[in-house]
Amino acid sequence: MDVVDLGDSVRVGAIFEESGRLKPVWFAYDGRRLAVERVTYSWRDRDGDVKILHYAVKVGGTVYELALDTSTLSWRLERSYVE
Amino acid sequence: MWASTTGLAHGRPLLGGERPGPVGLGPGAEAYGERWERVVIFLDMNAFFVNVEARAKPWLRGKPVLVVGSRKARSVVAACSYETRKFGVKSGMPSEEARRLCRDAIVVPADIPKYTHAIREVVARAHNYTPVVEITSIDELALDATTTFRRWGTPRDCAAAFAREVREDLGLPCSLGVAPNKMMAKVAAGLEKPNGLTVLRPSQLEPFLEELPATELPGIGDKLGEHLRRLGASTCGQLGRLPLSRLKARFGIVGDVLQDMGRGIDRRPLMAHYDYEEAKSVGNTITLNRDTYDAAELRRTFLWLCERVARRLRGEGYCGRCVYAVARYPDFYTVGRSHRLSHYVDEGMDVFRAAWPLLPKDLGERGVRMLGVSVSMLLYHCKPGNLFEIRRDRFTATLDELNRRYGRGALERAELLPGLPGGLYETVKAGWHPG
Repeated sequence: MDVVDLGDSVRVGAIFEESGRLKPVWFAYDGRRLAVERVTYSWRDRDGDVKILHYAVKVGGTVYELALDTSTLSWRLERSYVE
Repeated sequence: MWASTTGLAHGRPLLGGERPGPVGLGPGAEAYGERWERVVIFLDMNAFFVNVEARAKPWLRGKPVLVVGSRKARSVVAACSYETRKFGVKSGMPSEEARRLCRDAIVVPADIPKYTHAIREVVARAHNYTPVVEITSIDELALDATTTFRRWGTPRDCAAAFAREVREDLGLPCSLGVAPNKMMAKVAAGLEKPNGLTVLRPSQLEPFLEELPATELPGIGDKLGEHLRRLGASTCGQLGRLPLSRLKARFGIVGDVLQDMGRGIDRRPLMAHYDYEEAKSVGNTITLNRDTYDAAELRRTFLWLCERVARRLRGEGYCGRCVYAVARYPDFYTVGRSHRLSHYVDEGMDVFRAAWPLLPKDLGERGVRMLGVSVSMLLYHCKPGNLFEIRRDRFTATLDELNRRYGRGALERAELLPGLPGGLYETVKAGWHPG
């Protein structure tokens, strides 16, 4: 498995589900718009006072980790894991 | 900020204030036609870190996986999948050795916030079954279901319903044990892995313990097991029958506890969140990325550790007056010394000044693999003693507040800034606390 640390700011399309949960559905990376096939896992973390929402999303044979900074509502693509 | 705290500090009641006591043993319960002192369900998350990673990366399921402290750093195996264990891989062994034993293993860097989130989900589910949930470690819980199990039927039904939630809703394999106390429930949980459920009824304990090796009991390791074997107590049955006088003569006050353990007796009540005992010590160790011979770098790393320990002390509202420093050489030879101070400390440089001289002078010549520091003999809610300390205390409190607000490492001692690659932070091990 190859792990690549990215740390790039990215544009993300996300929807709020009926339950109120946020679900990323696509993100722009490397000049392409990648459709999220499945959110495989999500978790929360804090950086000081700021709550960070993390999402592991599957696109083809790759899992990307997206992170939403809830204070600035900015998304970052943290790393990718290739099978 | 601890110096001015007058109420709850991080959810911990102040000493001397009203605090709920541990949950008592109570009248027990009837189940399977027997009297149970308590009904304790012990949950052991199987290869927890690996299975959380496999939820995020589904292709890891069924593969040999190692979760290691850090990709960059030389570190230890934090968790390994069952597929790696047949090659002799164990948690805690150096990751290089694990990779040598299992060359096909997929190596995944540990992501503690991910696992902390996962165990919180499990704890939330556990509270549907009883309010008395003890988090014994990041991957183990004990539930006192004495007064609640009947809602699901028998103790087994209650445990099975909980297991189903964890396995199906959260997608995490787990093994459970049910017994009249925590120690035996933990032993039972370990009997069938993964995904087992074992019930040990009160009447089954004695025959079960008769042949069980004493080292299968939690807290009896190889060394203690060897001492017991020399006394003629290789099994729990033999341990339980050893005269108390012999056990006390050999092990002192622990003799009572050992005899009880051999008999399957564990009177400790479960400690729910609000009952957590006061900490006895606060410490951190770090396994360095490489064997380090640079004395200045070792000093800086040790200072960084001391700062980290001090910040945790202050965060919990403690100060302490016994410092312990430990170093491990590349050949794994380990030296550690402690020193009692005449005053209490909670500031990184004070801890450093007390602990650094305890380490051997030849660290740079022999090389170091691991460093550690801890502070014990703790006092809760201590206040600074004089005007100068009050001023420094306010300064430290401000730094702590800034680091709390903007994240750890927002403000560091200037001396620590160079030469500490991020990898160091990733390999630090600290006792996990539900927080």
